Amino acid sequence: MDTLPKDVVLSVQDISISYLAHRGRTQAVNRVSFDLRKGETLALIGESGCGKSTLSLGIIRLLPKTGQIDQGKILYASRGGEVINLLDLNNRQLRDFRWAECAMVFQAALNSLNPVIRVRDMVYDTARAHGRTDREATRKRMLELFRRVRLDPDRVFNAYPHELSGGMRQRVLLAMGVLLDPQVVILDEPTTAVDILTQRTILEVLKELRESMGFSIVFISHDLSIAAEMADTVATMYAGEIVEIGPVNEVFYRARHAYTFGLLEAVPTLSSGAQDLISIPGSPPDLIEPPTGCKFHPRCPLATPRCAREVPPLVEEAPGHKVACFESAQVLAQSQRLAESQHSPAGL
Amino acid sequence: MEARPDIQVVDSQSAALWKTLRRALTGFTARTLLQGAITIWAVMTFTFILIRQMPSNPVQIEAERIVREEQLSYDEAYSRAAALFDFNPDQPIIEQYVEYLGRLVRLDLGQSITSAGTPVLDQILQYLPWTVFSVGLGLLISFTIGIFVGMAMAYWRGGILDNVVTAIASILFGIPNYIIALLIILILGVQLGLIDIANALGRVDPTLEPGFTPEYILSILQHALLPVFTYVAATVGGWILTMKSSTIATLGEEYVTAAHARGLSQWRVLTAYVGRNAMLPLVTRLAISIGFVVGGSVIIEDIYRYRGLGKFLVTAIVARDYTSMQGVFLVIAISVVFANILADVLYGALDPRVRVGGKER
Amino acid sequence: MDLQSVASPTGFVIGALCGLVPLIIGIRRRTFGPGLLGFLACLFSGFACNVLGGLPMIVLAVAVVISYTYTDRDDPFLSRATIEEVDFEETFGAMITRRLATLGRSIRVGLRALVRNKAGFLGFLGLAFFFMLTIFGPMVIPYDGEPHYYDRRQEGAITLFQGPSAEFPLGLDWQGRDILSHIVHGGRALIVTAVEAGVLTSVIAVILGAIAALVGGLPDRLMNAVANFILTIPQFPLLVVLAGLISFKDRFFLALLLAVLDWPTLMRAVRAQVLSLRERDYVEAAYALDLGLPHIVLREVLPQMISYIVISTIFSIRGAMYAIVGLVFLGMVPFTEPDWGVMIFMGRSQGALFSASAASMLLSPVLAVALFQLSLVLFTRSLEEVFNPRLRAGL
Ligand SMILES: Nc1ncnc2c1ncn2[C@@H]1O[C@H](COP(=O)(O)OP(=O)(O)O)[C@@H](O)[C@H]1O
Ligand SMILES: [Mg+2]
Repeated sequence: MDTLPKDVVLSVQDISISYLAHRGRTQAVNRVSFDLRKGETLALIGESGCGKSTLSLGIIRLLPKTGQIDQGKILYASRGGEVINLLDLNNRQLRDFRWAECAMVFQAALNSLNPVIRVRDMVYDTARAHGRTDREATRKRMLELFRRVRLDPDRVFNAYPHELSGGMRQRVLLAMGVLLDPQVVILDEPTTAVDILTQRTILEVLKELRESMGFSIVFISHDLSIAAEMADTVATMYAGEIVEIGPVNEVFYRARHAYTFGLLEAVPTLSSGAQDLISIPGSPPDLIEPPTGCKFHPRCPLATPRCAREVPPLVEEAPGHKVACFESAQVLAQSQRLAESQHSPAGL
Repeated sequence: MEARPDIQVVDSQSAALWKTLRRALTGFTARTLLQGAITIWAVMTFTFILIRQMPSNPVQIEAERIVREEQLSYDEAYSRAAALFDFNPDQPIIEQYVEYLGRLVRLDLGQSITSAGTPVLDQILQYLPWTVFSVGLGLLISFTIGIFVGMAMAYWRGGILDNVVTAIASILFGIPNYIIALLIILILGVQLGLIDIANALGRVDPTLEPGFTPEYILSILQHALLPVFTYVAATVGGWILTMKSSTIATLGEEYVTAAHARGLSQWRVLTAYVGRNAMLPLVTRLAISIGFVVGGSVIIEDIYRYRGLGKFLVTAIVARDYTSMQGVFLVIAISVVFANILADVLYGALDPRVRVGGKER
Repeated sequence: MDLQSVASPTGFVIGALCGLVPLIIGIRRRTFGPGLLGFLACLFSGFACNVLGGLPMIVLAVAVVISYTYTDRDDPFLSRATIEEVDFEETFGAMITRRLATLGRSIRVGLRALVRNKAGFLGFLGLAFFFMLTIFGPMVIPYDGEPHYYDRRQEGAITLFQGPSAEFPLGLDWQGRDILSHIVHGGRALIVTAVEAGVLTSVIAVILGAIAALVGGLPDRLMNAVANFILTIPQFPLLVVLAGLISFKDRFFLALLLAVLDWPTLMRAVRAQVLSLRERDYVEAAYALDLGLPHIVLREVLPQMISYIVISTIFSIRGAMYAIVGLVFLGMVPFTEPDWGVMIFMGRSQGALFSASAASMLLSPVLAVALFQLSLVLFTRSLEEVFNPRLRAGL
């Protein structure tokens, strides 16, 4: 039987996920591992197309038919202390697991609500699927949650999705996400499609909910300032791999991977202004035929011949801070200089 | 309010139901009705003029028949034919129109010209049920099959079921209904002798006494078998293929994945999330098809000698029975207009997005 | 319009002459394979349709031949020329060559897409078969309107039906005439009328739809009202009435009439599309520049909708054939023999429907119509792939 350290709720171990397409096999996630502790918020950052959504869909086992998990384990510690491998669950057990243990708010959140039925019907559906047949109790709890995410509870509860604005829908999903009191909530770019004020509201209600309910969060974003605000731990993904992972201050003040550093350089800050922004040249690689060696080397300003030859292993270079980069010493020096010039990481 | 929650829930539910109904019916306003009435009037007037422009008239046609059969001189035959019918071909068309309109507002469709003394309404009521029964049943069956099979194919797409049924559906969709009817008679009936064609034609066994007897009803069903089967075969392919592509599109929607993520049962997702959304585009089509049920299928009814409204219409056209023709066209126009209103109402009931003042989104 | 023409020796010569153009270009550009194929294509289509087939095929064949060797000097990705070397004032000839090469490339891509969808390709083969049958068939099998075996009919028999035999592969009809020759000769008028009706439908629909959307106001409302009106009247019964009213001796009128009854659906789609296109900048720009309705329709709207329009045309052709055969079947239009529809009508009225020995008389035209329509429907699958870039990419 698998075991987990006491405070870990979710442990992704050496997971690979691929899609089958006409052109060939896309290695969307490649040997990814991380642990999520109770109450921890892990931010997954990286450009779009690097496999963040795929990884999160893999965790709740909801990949499209063309996608499959090739190897690895996803261990989950239930409240009773029992450790289960999610890949061993059958359909029935999976359905029970989803939402009750691990909820997910999708990237296309605006499209995540069934347009032809009311919010309350979706709520009742969800509750009933998990054996909570007392509609009145469900209703009360949902209304309370809606209040906590600063929605007009009665109106929203009886509304059709199209009657709600984008920001309202996003908060409805958030509130529905914690309806069954899950241990883990995955949020896939929850602030991407909304305006800046709504974004603030969402982050605030999310923090309040986290505070009072104590769930763990996997927070996917390509906005580093938001990640810095929310996360305890940050993991950088590139081309389907986690190339750097560590405590938020470590990663943002003392980045050790050239890609993370590139992302940090590309963040506008109040002090630097837009003209100094340096974006990473090129675009994420083709995941059907990825580059040899370090997958980032074609775009990396520090790349050496060795980077093209060998795959850098993920090694722990500082306590809790793992990185897969041969030139991490150089990157570290550069990022310390950047951090000094900016006073605060990622513009905060 | 908090004190009696259960009552409040029930109350709010029935209130919401009423609201839904009322909203669904907002499409069904006086304006819609007026528009429909104008359309019906326009079709009526158009056909009124059109059918009287056809060469020859009922009296001439009857006269020709008398000449052929009784060797009379044409003039003699003509005066006899003219005396036979209560119809004066020399009356100006505008007068005929005003007269007809005057009777119409009193819901009187007039009398058939060639079967003098028979009200057109009686004729229509005699033929209409048969057509509505056979075509309507065919539509119902093929729509139902189409919905379920199309959804199943989308769900297991790429599998054997999908490939086999897609091929069959494409073939059925490709072949005209009367060709299917002819092939059924030729191959199943004559070549293979699987069906006793001679006993399957017509509406019902003429030797039986009409009534609610088991034999009579059985005979009706037996005789409806071929036409209904033909209607189903000719239309089911289209329903299947449309439902399949609609379902595939819906399955890719985020809210379906989201529903699975909430742990909903497969069945619930399939019905309330996939099925209901995938069916939306088909509902409008269904309603419009319902409108054309009344017109029947002229050729199929002809082939199977199934005397429904379509067959009646052709007979009336050939005999230039103006009032009968007019009546049938009117009935069809009314049913099409109402079917369109029905389409709007149904769509409004199924898709809340179009309810708000009839505006999209 | 000489669509009625069939394969002829003159056509063969014309085709051969036309074929020389791509052949010579192919030899000069050292692309012998495509050059030779171009020659054969021209030969074939010239043979089939005389000048009408030969000349357009020259353009298509030359385009394909050129596209094999053409590299665009101005193309930033392919050309090695530096910016100074590129002459942006391209000559007329260079422009023609460039356009042809583009056309050729899309033809090649389209052909590949055509072959990829199995069902669609089957439909294409079916259509090709009927095309060959009606164009080249008459050269091999002359029309035979004479009764055979009249003297040998059975005592008391009224009809001269005969099942298939070695001499008459499809048997004889009720007058003792060769069914095969009727099948070969009886499809052309039907197909031509149906195609005319389909094309006319689309032309009317596109023009009216574009006008309704671009002009708006009263014309828009008027056209919508007419469309609504037409959609309310059941088509086929109306056709039956009109068949009594209008003499369909000239099949073109029939095609026109079918088109007049069939345009509303496509017209609405075009109108909606144009309305949504109008929101986009480039059409607004074209409108502001006052480039005129034809320009906007031809250059902006049509390319966007071409897939939809072509497929809708095919369905109109199918509907037209349904209606024509249906009218003939009910005996509502004047007969012109040979014709598949007339064969079905006569077969039925002469009792072939219920007699096993006479089945061929009915079965042959019934299958011909069924297979032709089936091919049309299947062919749309390929067309979807040809026109849909997303499907074309194989995603
Ligand atoms: N359904 C799918 N079929 C095939 N490939 C996919 C599918 N979904 C995503 N991919 C591919 O997987 C990679 C990772 O995608 P995704 O997980 O959506 O990245 P992110 O969420 O980081 O933007 C991309 O290269 C994408 O093209
Ligand atoms: Mg994503």
